[in-house]
Amino acid sequence: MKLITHNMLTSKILKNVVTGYPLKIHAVKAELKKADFQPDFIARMIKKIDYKTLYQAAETLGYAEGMPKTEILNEEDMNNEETLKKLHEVLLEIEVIEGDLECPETGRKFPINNGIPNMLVNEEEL
Amino acid sequence: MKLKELESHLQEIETFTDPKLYLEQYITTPHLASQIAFNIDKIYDDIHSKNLCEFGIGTGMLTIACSFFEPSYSLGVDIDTDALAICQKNLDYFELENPVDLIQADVKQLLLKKENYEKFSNLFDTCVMNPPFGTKNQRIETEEKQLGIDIQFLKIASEFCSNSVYSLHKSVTREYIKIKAKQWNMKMEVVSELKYNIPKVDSRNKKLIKDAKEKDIAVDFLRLTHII
Repeated sequence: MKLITHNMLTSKILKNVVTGYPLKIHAVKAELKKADFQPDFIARMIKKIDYKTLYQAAETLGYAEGMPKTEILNEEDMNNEETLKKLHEVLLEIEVIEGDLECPETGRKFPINNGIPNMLVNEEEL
Repeated sequence: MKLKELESHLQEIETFTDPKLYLEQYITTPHLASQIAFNIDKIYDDIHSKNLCEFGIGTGMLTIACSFFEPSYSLGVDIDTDALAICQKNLDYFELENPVDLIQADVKQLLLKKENYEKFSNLFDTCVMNPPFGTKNQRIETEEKQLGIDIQFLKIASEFCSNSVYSLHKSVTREYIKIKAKQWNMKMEVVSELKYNIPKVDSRNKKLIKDAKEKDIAVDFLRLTHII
């Protein structure tokens, strides 16, 4: 699971959960996997994602150094090549391989095995 | 990338060892997948530098085929642990340079509440998929009353993607899908008509009949686009 994907996941499907976002990451194993740097793509995506969640996730995994410490990125950050490179690493290169995602409201855990988060829930949990 | 070259790369993909009939895990052949990806790229330019998603990714045939045309980011969703394990293995094998992520989720569950996936919506440009044809009974009650599994997949894809949805459907459902597309404010076009091999199943014990002659069914390769 890459952090771009984590940025979109919620546990809102669970009964009585109001926001279910962001899911807390507990990583047992994470690694860096190189991907091609596409500055235009990062600049486009950064407007669509929740930066605060991305920052927190990177911090949890020990990769926040070099990221602008803010809630919302400004124009200057989005035009800075170094910042975009860092965001590229955080969004697309960090992979959580083993661990789990925890619902912030109920504590329900969604396991991540072999890099794949399992978001399935039982009928009774809906 | 030439069409033949792509098809031969895709021969390397490991497919289902024990396909689950209730999930309609039919194999998308390298021949079919290469033609689909090739056409989407050459005719519509809907893959390069786009965000892609696939519902019912299975062992990854279509997403890997599309990866040869360099999407920015791809997400594959499937309900089945075994399919996803093979898919992950295939992704590792191909050492793709474009980022691909997988999640295990149920399209039927995603559709229950729009808030489940609103963060995903419109992040994606294009969906390329080969959903269940809906020959097995997997209906659910949604806000939009009863929908067959094939239409549920189309519905979620249409809500995820801001641009186009490419999908394979039985030709007999064409007129019905056209009506649905209209309701969703989308335009449907038939890109091409294909023949799809469906393995023959014993109706009593639901097992595959070995060595039985496969049944060819008429399938439409559809493109649905949002009307702005």
